[in-house]
Amino acid sequence: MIWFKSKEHIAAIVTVGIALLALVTSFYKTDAEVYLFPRIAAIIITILATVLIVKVIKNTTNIGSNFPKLIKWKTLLPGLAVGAVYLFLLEIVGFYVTSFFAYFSICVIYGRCDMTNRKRGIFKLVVSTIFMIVLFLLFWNLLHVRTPTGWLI
Amino acid sequence: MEFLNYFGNVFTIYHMSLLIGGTLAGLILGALPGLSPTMAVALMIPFTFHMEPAAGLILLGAMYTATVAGGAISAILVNVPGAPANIATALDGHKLANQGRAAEALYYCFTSSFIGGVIGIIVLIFFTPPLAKLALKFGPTELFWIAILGITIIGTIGSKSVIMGLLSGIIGIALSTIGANPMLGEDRFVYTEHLESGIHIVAALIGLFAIPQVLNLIEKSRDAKDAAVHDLGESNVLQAVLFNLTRIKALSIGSIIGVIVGVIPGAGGQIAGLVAYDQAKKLSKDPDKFGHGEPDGVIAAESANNAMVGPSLVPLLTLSIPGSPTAAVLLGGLLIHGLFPGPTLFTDHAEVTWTFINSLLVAQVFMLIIGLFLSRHSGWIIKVPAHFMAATIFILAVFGTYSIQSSYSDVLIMATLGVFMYFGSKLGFSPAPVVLGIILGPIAEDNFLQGKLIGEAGDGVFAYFTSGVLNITMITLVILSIAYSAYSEAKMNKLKQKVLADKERRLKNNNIKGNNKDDDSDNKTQGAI
Repeated sequence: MIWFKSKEHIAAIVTVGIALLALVTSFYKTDAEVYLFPRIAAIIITILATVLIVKVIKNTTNIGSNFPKLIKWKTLLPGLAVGAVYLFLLEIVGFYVTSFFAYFSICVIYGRCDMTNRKRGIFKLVVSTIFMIVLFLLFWNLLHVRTPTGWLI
Repeated sequence: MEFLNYFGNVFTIYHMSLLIGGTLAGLILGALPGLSPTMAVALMIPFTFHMEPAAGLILLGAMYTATVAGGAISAILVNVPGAPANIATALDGHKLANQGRAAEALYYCFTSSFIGGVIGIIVLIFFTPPLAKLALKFGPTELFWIAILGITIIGTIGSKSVIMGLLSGIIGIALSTIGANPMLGEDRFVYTEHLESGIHIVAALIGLFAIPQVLNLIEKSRDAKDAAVHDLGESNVLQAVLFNLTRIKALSIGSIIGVIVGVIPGAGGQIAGLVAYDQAKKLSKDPDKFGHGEPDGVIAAESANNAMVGPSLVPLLTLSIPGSPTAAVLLGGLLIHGLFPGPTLFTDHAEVTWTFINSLLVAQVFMLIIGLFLSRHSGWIIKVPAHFMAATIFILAVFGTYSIQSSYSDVLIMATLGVFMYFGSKLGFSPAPVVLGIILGPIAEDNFLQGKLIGEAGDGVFAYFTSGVLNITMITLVILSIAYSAYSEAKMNKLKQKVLADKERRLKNNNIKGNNKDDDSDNKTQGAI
């Protein structure tokens, strides 16, 4: 399991994955002339990935046993879920209504006080509403950006 | 003195209000810890898209200048630099705040930022046109190499790891090839309808710079504690400004170093501030005072990081090589308005270009006035909770990206790129080279394919791309930048290993001493018994 003992190791594995993806997508069943530049890029990515692998293998002996935690998944996942649902519903429900709920959700989930604190909850609701009004005035009225309305606005 | 012909263009009510708004927004955004100037400028690009080119660039330029200076507010008040450029400012600025002289430190910061900034813009005004003329000699091969040089320099000098930086740049180039082939028009890598038009520059800029910051903010939001903001203290503005003006040595060191570092592509404000601070300390009569609240430390660092702003645009406006990551974002701003760096900027688009450059000079004055005013009321800015910032940036990123082409696909591409960049940045990939790869990739490909056709008709492709003084110079610079950065990285790694080994040795020695002490005390106890 030495390969997962430092972020350099994970980076090297990810880079190899990217290099393979670049090679396959630009060389497999593609026209050489149309894909000439992407092919050159894929070859350079592969060379650099190889250099990185060699460098990481050389440095394996210097790695300690403590592997720092790179990502706080528990904290991050609710935010990513809100983002994914928001982007999915954006066109279906309407930009402004969905954005309001996304904004409010992020504030409620990641606010430092207790989620059931009514006073703080009302404050977040007010801030979210004001933000959406400003956004509407800015994009709809000033910049004349017509966002898809969906079911609502 | 061509720039004087267009000076009046800056003083319209519309342009002046943009300058004031941009400066104010930039100072506030710069002061918020965790928000980088690069992200602030990237987030502002969609708004400028709907403006005329000169107005859009004025807004972006004012924000660029102000965010760099604004970063000093949080550096001084809570010891958290608002931007990497303000790291050196925190060293003495926060010590001054500890002594109850926070307002005084902020006055020094904005006054020296103004002086450094003006010197930097003067360099930009006088050095850009002659250098732009050099670009007239560029053919397809030179333009190809200049694009590669830009990506290489940002990828190597601007990144912590040479390989990861270069990989980031080349991944950016690969991403730029999604969509139609520029010569044959056939689609490439279009696996979904969302990729039909390729990756738009603005979607890439916002996704790569804003979304990782949103995720970083929400990741830290629960751990964040309320920053202990120092009392600003009582200080006379005029007295502080006059004292600042007498510190000619620190101002000169900062401004000169800022200008030199700014012209070097990829170096950025962080290096300018730290080098200037170091030199000011070395050349001071009382170097021991540095690090304990020495005004010269703040003055040198701040004059340097703002003196860097103007010169960082010299290679950008002439050769399309950005001097800093924020300048790379500005390059995106130029391109979406149909302005391509090089001599045509000063011939075909002279009015827009000179109005933009002149506005940077006026922006320094607004930065000084608004900054000095804001200094007295800056405590609240850094108290904005991280979750509000994260939510605001995220929604603005979505609306801003959508507003460019009214395309839902752009929003999806922006979010996808952003999430991948967040995970990539944890592994050592940098957003600036990726962005530059996406921006300069099409330029490199266009000119490569043109050069290939010309080469095939002449002495051969390899000979065509590697002959001529300019081609050889640029190839040499590409190799030198990689070699120099690799050498610096190896040297730094050796130093790190040495420090680690010393630490381990010291720990071992302490443990042995501790054990001996324990043995001694055991013996004494036994003796007593």
